[in-house]
Amino acid sequence: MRRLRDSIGRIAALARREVRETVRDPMFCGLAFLAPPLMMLVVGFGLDLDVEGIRVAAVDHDRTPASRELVERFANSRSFDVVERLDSEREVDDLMMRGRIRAAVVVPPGFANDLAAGRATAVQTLIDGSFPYRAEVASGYAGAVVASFARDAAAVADPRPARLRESAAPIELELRYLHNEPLESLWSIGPSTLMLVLMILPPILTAVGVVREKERGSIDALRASPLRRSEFVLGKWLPYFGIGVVDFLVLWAIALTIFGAPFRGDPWFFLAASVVYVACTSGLGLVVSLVVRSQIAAILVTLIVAMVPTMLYSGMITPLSSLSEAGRMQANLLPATYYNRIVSGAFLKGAEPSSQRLDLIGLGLYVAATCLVAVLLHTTRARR
Amino acid sequence: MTRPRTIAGDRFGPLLALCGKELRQFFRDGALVLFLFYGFFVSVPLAATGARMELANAAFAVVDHDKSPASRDLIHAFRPPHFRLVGEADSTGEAAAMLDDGTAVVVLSIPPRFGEDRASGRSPQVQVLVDTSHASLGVLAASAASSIVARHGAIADTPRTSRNRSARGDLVDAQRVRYNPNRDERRFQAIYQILKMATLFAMLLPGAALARERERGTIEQLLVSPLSPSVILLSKILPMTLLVTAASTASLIVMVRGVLGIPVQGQIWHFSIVIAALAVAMAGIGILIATIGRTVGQVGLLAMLVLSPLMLLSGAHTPPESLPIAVRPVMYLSPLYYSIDAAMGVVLRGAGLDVLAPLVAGTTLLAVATSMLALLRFRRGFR
Repeated sequence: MRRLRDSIGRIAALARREVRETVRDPMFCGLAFLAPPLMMLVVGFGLDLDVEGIRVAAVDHDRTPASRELVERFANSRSFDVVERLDSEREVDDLMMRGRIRAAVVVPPGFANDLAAGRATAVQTLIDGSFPYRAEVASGYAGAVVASFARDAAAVADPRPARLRESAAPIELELRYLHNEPLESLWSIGPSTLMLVLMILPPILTAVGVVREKERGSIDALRASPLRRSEFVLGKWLPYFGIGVVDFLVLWAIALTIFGAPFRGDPWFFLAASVVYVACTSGLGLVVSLVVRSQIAAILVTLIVAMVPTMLYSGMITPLSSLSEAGRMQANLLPATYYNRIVSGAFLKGAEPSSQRLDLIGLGLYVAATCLVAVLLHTTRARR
Repeated sequence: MTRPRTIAGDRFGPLLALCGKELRQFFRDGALVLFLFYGFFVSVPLAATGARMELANAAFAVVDHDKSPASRDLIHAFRPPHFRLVGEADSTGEAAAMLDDGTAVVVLSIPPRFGEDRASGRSPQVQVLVDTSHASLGVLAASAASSIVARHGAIADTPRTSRNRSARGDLVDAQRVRYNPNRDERRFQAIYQILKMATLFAMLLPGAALARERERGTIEQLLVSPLSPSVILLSKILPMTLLVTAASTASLIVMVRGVLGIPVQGQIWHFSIVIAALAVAMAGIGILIATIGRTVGQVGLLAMLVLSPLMLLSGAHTPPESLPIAVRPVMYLSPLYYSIDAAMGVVLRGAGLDVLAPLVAGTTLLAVATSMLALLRFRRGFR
């Protein structure tokens, strides 16, 4: 019992020293609390995935009211912005090469005649495929503009009610958005950003905190102290874990207020899961710090280890169900995957805590594993 | 004739020596070398095959209340590569549960008597439910579903109507995607990953190297030596630019062209120029940050603050014309914005120097501006 109390005393002493050191470095301290919210705001507002105002060139070979009407439909749609009206297709290539336009619509000669006579005709849309997401959205919307024009043109050519017309009746589509009804970009990106920022900053803080001592040599003083391996690891980790939890609370408040994301789950469960997640990510920083020797390496390694797989596989950008088999296996190795499910469950889906218990257990296992690895990797002896 | 040579020798000799020192220092840090390799080589194919911003294999479930040939035809129109059928539900409630637990992201619901309505010329209404807790999915799924349904609606699906229809032509949208005809997203993701890594390393390595000299006090030794501040700063910028450019070019040749088999339409050395300009601009920003932060830890955190807007507002995720006007200036200040356009131009569109020149000029302008600012602050900080 006394040994335990002594041990806790030593851990507390180390943690207190770490806190004091952080507080006395006002820039580092300020950044530790300012960087996460600022990053969240930038990512949240910057990652707007609505594609609007795609620059289009229109090449009208027909020059009839019908062809002009089609071009006007592109001009009037929210997704497109007709910036160039050209006489020939020769200029299209050059404009697209220079990035001045992202797409072009070419109306063939005899378009209106063919349409009136009921002959098959085609409008050609050329799309710049170098940015796939834009190309995808542009292609879908271009198809929809032409299809709706075709439907109305058919109605004009054959003014009988739809069911008497010889062409097939159109199918009406009702789109319903679940979980994020107004299709508000911030509602879905905001909570995911919380996951991303907490994945990146707490481990960097922790890693730099430990490696700083290695680089300056002050770790030798600790090696000579009665601190045991586990005490050193815990004492170093606790202050940064605390900063991470405070950061989380701030980010949560931003998601709810500035982003206005709805919160439909159980706040207590979410709080508990988030604390475990922060423990896990700052623990990851601890592991990195024990492997690398310089602060530069600590920052770069943590950044790459934390950011690359998280952006790719956590389900933030690509849904898990769209990943390949190998991708899904990697996803299951990341704490961010489990937490991302908890986040979207708590914010938008309003999931029951009981349905997310497995994800929480996954995170807990991660914490245990990182602690174990960190204690094993830390040596009280000088290397070399 | 001998005098200019000695001046040049005086100037470039120490600069070269310092550059050599930076490179040696880098290569002695095993973890850094390992992660440089990971970043430029291992992560490039991973990113190319892993991340997709397009709608790929979106898991979709079906609630078919009709179970007629017509409804099955429509279901088949939702096919790979966009959609992947993962299951059938008996009721909308059951389908909603699949959306909740993530097994499906899109549900197509077909009403009873869908086939009958189609055959008799009434317009039936189908419903598509999209799980929009995913950022991009709502937009993409909506766009893809509306074009599939519109196209399918235009094509008659029973033999009777199709015979009748032959008299009537219809208007189709003949789409052609330029530069990347199969919309192979790997091409974009692979090049984007190289650029991201170049940005990261080009900014952090020089910045942190300068901060380390300050933290350890070795910068004082350099300052009392006969070296000018500009030489000291150049010795931080140049070696890392060289390193990043070499690694990016090697990655383009070995990983992108070799392993991934993506054709490079333009000249490889054009790509190197684009990367070098990007690296110098980012190094300038890194050095500028290092004159603000005093320790490596502070510089690292400041870099995080600067990096995330630079990367996100680079035009890779959101094209500039879609951004709010207030945010657009930030994009024009991001070296990555010009570089992405230029790099995609070289690799995918085979753009020549005439197209690249303004983009590289934009990056270079930023590079000069940030370096001058850094030099100014660096001089002032030590006087």
